[in-house]
Amino acid sequence: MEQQETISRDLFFSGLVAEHQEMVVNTCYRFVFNREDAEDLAQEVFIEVHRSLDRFREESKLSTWIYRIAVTKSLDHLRRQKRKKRFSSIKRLIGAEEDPAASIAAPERENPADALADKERVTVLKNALDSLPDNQKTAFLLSKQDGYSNQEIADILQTSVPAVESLIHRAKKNLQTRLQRYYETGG
Amino acid sequence: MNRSKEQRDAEVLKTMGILDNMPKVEPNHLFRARLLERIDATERSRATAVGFNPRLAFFGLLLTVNVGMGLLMFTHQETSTMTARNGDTAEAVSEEYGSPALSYYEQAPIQDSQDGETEPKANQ
Repeated sequence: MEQQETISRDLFFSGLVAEHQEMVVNTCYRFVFNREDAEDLAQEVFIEVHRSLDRFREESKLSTWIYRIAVTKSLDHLRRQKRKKRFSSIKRLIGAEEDPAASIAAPERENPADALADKERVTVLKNALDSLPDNQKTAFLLSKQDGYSNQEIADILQTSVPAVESLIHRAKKNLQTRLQRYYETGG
Repeated sequence: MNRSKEQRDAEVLKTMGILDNMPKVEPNHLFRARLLERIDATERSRATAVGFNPRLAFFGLLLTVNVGMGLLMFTHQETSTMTARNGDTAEAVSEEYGSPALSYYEQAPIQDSQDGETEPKANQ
């Protein structure tokens, strides 16, 4: 009896992974801009789902719950990265720091100058996004991903649709201001 | 590098556009296999953690230390009693043999005038 329950639970979990893995990986990817980190995070998301599946109360849709875990894990990852950055100056002093741009996947270009410019843009965008408050960043990034309606974003952030619209608007404005300031000062 | 306002706006647009043009990532074909492996490893480590309960181990250690201390104190007391008992015996022996009745041997020898032998003077 217990064995049968375990089998059906495993089957259900496998189905969940198959159904949501792409969405989860892409959600994490939008936050971290790195494919490997995104897959690692997605795995952590599903481990958490597997661990807490019994405790899931159907207050929200299962998919919303999974994507909320993905957002939380991604934001945690960004916070960890920020902490690491604080110590990077010490690492630089001892010459042990690796090039941060190496971890950022930029669209591939044939022209090395274009590729470099793209890489620089990704770094600039990432820094600008990092300076946004978490809820603005989340609403804005999710709105840029196919598959998330404003209602779904509102469910993930546990807020209303008008609040999400306002968050997206403010995030866009803040991002533009920061980028403009960056390009004004000449980078 | 000084840029004109148009150039700056164009750069901002291009930079913001990265998010619109971000490619869709296909999860690795080993994603599920790796995930199941990690879940297995997590469960195994949790099972090991259940086998080794740090709280239980701490109480075990505490109990051992307590018993050890108790034993140590008991042995110390035993040794003290033994020493005290040995001391009492020595005192009793010294009292027994150190009585004035036997102080005969502590007297200075008296010189015998005839054969030159020494003979202790009896204590009366």
